[in-house]
Amino acid sequence: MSTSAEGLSLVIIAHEDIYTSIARQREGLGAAYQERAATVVLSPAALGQLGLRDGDLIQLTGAAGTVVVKGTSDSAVEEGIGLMPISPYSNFLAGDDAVQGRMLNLRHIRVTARGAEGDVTPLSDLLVGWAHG
Amino acid sequence: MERDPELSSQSLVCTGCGCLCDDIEAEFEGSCVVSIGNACAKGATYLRSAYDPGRRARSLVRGREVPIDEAVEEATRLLSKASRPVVFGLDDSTIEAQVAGIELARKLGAVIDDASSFSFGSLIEGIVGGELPTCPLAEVRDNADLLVYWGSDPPHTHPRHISKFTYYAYTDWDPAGWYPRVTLSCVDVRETELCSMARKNFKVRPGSDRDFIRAVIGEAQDETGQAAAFLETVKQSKFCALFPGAGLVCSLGDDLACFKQMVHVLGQSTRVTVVPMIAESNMLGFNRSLHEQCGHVNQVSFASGVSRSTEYSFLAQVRNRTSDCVLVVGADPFSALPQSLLKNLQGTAVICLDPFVTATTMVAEVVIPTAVPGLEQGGSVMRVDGERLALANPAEGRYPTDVTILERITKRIA
Repeated sequence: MSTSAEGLSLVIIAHEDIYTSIARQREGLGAAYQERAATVVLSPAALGQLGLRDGDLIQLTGAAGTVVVKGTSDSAVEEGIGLMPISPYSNFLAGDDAVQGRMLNLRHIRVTARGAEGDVTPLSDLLVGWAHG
Repeated sequence: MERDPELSSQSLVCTGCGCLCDDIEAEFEGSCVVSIGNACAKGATYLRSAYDPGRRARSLVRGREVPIDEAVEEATRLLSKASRPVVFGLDDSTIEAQVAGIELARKLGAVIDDASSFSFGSLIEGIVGGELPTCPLAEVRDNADLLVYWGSDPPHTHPRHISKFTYYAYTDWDPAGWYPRVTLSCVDVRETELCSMARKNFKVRPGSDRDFIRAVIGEAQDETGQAAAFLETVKQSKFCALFPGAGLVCSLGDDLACFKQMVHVLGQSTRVTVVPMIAESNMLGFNRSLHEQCGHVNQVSFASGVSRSTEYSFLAQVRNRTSDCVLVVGADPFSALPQSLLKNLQGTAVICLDPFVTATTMVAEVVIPTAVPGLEQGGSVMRVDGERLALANPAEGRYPTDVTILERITKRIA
């Protein structure tokens, strides 16, 4: 099965994930946190549509940017939905549509998913241009 | 086993999340913690990381390590010369620090806001204003026979919520075959960990909580029959405790009219109480402190007397590039907000007070490390149900408190 050129439309629901929170609290914005944060969980059918298997890389393009994360499948996830831990990865995808009026809605981020090669987007790339020192 | 005479025991309140668990048993050797009892994985990690030098924030000015006095001096200079300063955060600070932060904002003529303005603010306003019924969690336990977690997944956000305050906290709970006389229920857009434990689950499509609520109160068609089933479940209960989480408030935006109406409608057939699932340890404390002083829970400007407007929300201030200096206290907007929005802060001086290294301390012009509340800093905090708790400070003196820093800056501002 090959990845469709147009990609697959998904709604990302970013959610609190205790393992990601603990990794961040324990080690800061390091490798363990990136491993946890740079993930998306799809339905098995969606992963199949992309021609991918568990652990393959997925490029997600939202209104504000593109990230490459690791994809896994879970039969509890509905088609058309992608679950991501709240992190700079999910935040990077969110455009102004995620800021409804004065509210923040990171639980309804529209993205296009495609298979990807190479590496997960380094966390440092998402904060680039900011750090001092 | 003989106890090491060098060790001392201390009961702590964990400030790692909104549960504010007050039964943490810690053993100390001097001011260093050697064991932590009763805490969840999240709380234990939070407390232990206080002793990891690599995780603690360092005193920095534009990336250069400096003595704390120098960082405070630079923060004071930046705030003094700012024409449109903003004070943001304070949701994980003590009530004393929140009062000091409000006082500093007042003296600066600044805008002050917290994360509630883009999360739980409207809900808290409803509770503070008496439009939504609430009660202490102690009253929920043993009395509520229906627990509804809506858009919240406590195993991930508030790990001890159901064991300390609700489902497993009931006096007659028996792990060896207790037949629950309380129904655990979830309303969510996804299959959460809690859903697998709940007896009744109601699935809503992402972003359609409002449609579900409207169907419950009979204002919209109930296409799946879920709303009718939910209504029936509530009607069959005697005391329904609703625990709205970030999933619900994000979906509803700041228009909670339908939710309030639903609570009113449900309240005609059973007792209903609302206790928000706020992740921050003391957001309610901030909202109440500001309300006591200004009559508003958030989004306040002291530029000309006291005024409140959505344009004073932190999101609006960032989106409109209004502010020229932002003081962030115990918050991490650079982790929590969309990058597309944060780009607007480029060129704005960011000052950050925090116990830990965060995405925000990594980009701030000035970083001032502060004490961890409940471990290195005493004071008081307010739990999500409005109960006020006193914090111990067995490791006091390792870092300055944010109260001290905020008061020092306030004194130096002309």
